[in-house]
Amino acid sequence: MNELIIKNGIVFDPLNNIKDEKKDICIRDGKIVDDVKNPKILDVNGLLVFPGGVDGHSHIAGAKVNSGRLIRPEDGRRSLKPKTSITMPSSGYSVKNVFSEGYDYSIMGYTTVVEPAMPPLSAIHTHEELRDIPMLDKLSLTLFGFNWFVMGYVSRGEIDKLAAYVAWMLKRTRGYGIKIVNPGGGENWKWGKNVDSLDDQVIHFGVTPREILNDLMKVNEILDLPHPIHVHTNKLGQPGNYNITVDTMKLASGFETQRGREPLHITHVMFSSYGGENWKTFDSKADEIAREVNSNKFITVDVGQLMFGDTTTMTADGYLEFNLQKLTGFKWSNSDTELETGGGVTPVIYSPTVPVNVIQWAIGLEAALLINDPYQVWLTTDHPNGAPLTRYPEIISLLMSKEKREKEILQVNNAVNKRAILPSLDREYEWNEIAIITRAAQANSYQLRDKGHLGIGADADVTIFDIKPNEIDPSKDYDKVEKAFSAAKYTIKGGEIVVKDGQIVKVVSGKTYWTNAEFDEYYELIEDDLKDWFANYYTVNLDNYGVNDVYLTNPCMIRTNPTIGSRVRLA
Amino acid sequence: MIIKNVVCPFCGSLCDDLTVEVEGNEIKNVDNTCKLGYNKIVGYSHGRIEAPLIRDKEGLKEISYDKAIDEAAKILCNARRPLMYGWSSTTCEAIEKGIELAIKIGSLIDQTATVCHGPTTLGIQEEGKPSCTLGEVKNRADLVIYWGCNPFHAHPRHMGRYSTFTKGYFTNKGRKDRKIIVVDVRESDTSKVADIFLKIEPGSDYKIINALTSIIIGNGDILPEEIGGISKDRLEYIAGEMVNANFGIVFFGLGVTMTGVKDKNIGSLSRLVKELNRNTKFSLMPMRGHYNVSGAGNVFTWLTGFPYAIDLSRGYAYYNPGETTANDVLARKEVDAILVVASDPVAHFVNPSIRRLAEIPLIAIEPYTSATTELADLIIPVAISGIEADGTAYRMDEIPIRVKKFIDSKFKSDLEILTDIINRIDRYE
Amino acid sequence: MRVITLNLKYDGSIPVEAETITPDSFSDKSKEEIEELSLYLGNKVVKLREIFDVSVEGSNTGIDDVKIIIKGNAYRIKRIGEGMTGGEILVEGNVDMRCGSMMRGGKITIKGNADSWTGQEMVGGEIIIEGDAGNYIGSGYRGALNGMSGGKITIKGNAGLYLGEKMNGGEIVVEKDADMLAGLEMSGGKITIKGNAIMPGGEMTGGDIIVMGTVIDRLPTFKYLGKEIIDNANFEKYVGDLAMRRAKGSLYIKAP
Repeated sequence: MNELIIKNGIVFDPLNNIKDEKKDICIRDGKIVDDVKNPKILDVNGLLVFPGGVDGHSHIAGAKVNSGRLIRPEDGRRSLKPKTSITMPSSGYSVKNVFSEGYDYSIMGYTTVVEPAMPPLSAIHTHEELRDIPMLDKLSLTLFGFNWFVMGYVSRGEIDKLAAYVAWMLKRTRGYGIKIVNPGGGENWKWGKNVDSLDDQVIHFGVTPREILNDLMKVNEILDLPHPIHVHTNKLGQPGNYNITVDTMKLASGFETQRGREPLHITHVMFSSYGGENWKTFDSKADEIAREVNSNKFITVDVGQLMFGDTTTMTADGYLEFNLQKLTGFKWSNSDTELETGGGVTPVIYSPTVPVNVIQWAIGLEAALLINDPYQVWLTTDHPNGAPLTRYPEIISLLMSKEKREKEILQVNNAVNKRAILPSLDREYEWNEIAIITRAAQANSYQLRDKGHLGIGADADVTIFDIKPNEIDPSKDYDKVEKAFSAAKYTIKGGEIVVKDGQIVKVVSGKTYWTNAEFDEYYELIEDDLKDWFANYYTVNLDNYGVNDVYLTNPCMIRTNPTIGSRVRLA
Repeated sequence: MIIKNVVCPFCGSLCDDLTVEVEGNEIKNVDNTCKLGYNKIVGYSHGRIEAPLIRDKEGLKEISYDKAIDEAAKILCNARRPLMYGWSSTTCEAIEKGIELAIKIGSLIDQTATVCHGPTTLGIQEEGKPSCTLGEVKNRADLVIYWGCNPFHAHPRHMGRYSTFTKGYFTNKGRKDRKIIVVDVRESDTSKVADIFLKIEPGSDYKIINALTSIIIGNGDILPEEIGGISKDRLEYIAGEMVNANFGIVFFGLGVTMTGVKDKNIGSLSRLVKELNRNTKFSLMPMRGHYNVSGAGNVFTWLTGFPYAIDLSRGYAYYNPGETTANDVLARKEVDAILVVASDPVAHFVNPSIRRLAEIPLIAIEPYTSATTELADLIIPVAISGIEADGTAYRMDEIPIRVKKFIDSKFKSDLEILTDIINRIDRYE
Repeated sequence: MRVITLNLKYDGSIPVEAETITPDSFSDKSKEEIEELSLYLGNKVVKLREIFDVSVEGSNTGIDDVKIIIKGNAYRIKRIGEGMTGGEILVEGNVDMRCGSMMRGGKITIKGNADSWTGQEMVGGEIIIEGDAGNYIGSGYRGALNGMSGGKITIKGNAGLYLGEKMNGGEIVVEKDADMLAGLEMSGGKITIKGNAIMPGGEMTGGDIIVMGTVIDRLPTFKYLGKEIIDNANFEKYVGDLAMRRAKGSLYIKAP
């Protein structure tokens, strides 16, 4: 029996309504328990205790990420760290090698991370990298937004087949949920074009983004998937796109789900909250977006905060990356994937002197500050798109301190005062709200029952920060907040102390979650289509397609309860 | 026993539709394969090295596997500037293990891209890689350009399966739906099936690529009447074909990566493709040689941050081709011991490098006698990945496919041998 | 002035990484402390005294009055003078790669040949190479946006491939010839080649390249603008590289 007690911490555990409470936490064999007999004692004497961090959207593994590493040796060189007696060499600032990803997250107190864009055809690649990322539990979302099977079934109204296909794909790719990037628009990009509204047609397929989103939202519910459809909106990154974002959010209005989770998640909403007609008239519409979120309990968003500096952008939205590259003239990679998806990568430098970048920076913070319910707005940087993951501590300190924001505003281009609303916002996040947006909200949205909280039976993933919440004022001591969140005093993963004083002290490998939503005869429904399309249009055989458990460390299958016509869940 | 959908462990096309007939533990027949794949699979058992060998004054003599692992561990531990080289014809799992070993001993590690598509990597590190999967080409491409490559011989099924003759969703008439352009310094069997053959002067790729780009961005008026043996009119015509295509692709090979200004050719080619995307849809793709050279690049990159030519001597990954590339460190006589896995550097390296290879302890993990094993001081025979061992390989378009094991071998796999060496080193430490 | 003389006694072929040999690093160290500095020989760490005999004369008040003299053939000593901000280094023989990379100030004189990447990403200061120079002198790192952005490099012999690659400031002078693609992708600064050059200015978007000898294989994507007189000599002026958008690089070739 491996027992540990964390004594005298000031605990924030929002999912269990524990807030600012001096409380002991008991751990046995990797789980939180109600008491222990002969534990190792960790007296943290008034320090801040949170559940282990959960990042619900971070590009850490797979073809796109590796393509980013490949084309950016100059980024790789930026953070070279030698091996130690227990750790492997690290490289990369915005595109880190797998070891650095695990270590850097763990040092900041994160224990679970979601890779949000897995191309099915290269799913093995995603899982090979996930397998090699130490320190973290992982899950990945499979891309469906402009998949030919999906568009075919949507156009023919074959919702059962669509459900069967999604279930089959999640199993075949060991995916956790449905990711939709630029629905329909990605297929048009394969001809160098895009869509402009939810009702534009996808070339040749005769479907619209609206139909794709609606049907996948239904399928998500039919299959009882744990996570909402996870949507990167159309026109992302283009001035004036807030309209299509609000329209997309409205698709979820009134859509009740059995699990009590929201049906729709809009990801990295900063990039989708743009006003103006072009880059010259570009302004913030974070207020419009927040108004919709505040009145629409059927959606969640994550921020996708932008921070100034050099980073690498990467997404399955190839059109977006191409256009960004046209603005910067920097190097650019594209990766269209047959029948399924696409993607692009290009570096970017966000500058505090460039009006557009300053407004983008403001939009993210505005969204976080204007959305009332922290469970509806997780903190992300869309790593590495808005900023590398290591910038989280700085963002937390900005959310907690108006003074810090005012100080920053003085340093950046004056556009922030004219075309953004950040300077007028007074809200300051409290510890409990920080715990929600970095942990509880994300665990809740992914319905990871053992994550993001410290109740009995939860995984013993705990972060202890070197800061005494009752002795400092985060609105004034923002530098201390940033420092504390940069390097955890302790990170405890599965009951083991893996980080101490900001240093990795033990290397562990995590679990990989995936969702099994298969139901009776699901494969028969689509078997002929699969055989036909694989034989004629794919270049890989159906038999050689997909991932098996060889590629997963500690696979952790989540079973769901599909309700599709008379068909039921397989025993 | 008939085994279907076998993956061919020969070239970067990684065809996965082979049918192999196995009887007992012997291969009786292989279908759906080209001559290159057929010979590798059917002939897998010929010319094998049968036992671990060590060289002494009288030549090579047999030793036990255990002793061979011991010797390998000793050589690597004692080396001050070891190099681990090869990797393109084994599985990603073995490559991962190789990198673990390189990190452990503080070695240089390089892969065969260093003598083929290394310049491609350098070029795309400057300009990026606008690309796609082979199925995109199959389903959409109405303009296919082969530049400095001859798939007819080097990737015999490529044109049939992916790029020229195959029928796809938007190309249901196959060859008739596509225009084929070949750019090369000489005629080839590939150029014979092309609609347009652009015979260019050797070493003029850089100028021609940049001339095409200048035409496409509207600066063509300043060009001279002839560039690299091609008239300006003809270049303008080719640029027009590119712009007017609905979906174009450039496949390129060693004819452009290894001549003239090498990596600068590829950087320029990437920029040409980038500019074309302002007008239409265009991609480029290197014609990768060995079946898992793409996988080697990928594994190197996710583990260390860099795709080849990595120096781990100071505990972190330092990358600078030209300084850390195998041929450079050998020619400069830096390397004092080398481990070769799944490749034949003696057959492919420049003379100064080969002279160094002859001077230093050379360990070869190899199934067959080769130019490299002729020079080796220690040879550890190995099972052949993709026939006698399974694992992951990456096709030339970065698509991972699991290669199969369909024959039992008395030899250990690369992965197992490397694991044994690591464990032996651990025991010494 | 404090003069620190390093007498090379190492003659192996494995390169030694010696980024700690700078006036900045030596400035406040005693002879004994300098001898104890770590250098890297392959995968092992060595002390500086294992590679060099050290002698010290005089005293200094800051970095600027430190002079380091390296005696012997340092053709396997890399990274000398990396990131230095002041003072002086005199290399009496040859030197290995990346000498003076990321240099910010001060002066390095190399009496022999300098290997590749000398003055890589240099920001300021001066490097004089009295012999020949390798490839990528004054260039950038792989994939980076910019090479040398300030300072001056003088090469009295020939320069290798890709001289001043991605350079965007500062000056390079080559007394003899430059190999292929001098000024590749350069966006600023000035390169003067007194001898011949092959395909200079590929993909340049800014800066000046002046070739006083013959240009072999001039790139076709440059536009002839007319004659111009520089220092009483006639030059033909071209703008390019017009394979690039917004290209404003100037290529001056001595008129025949």
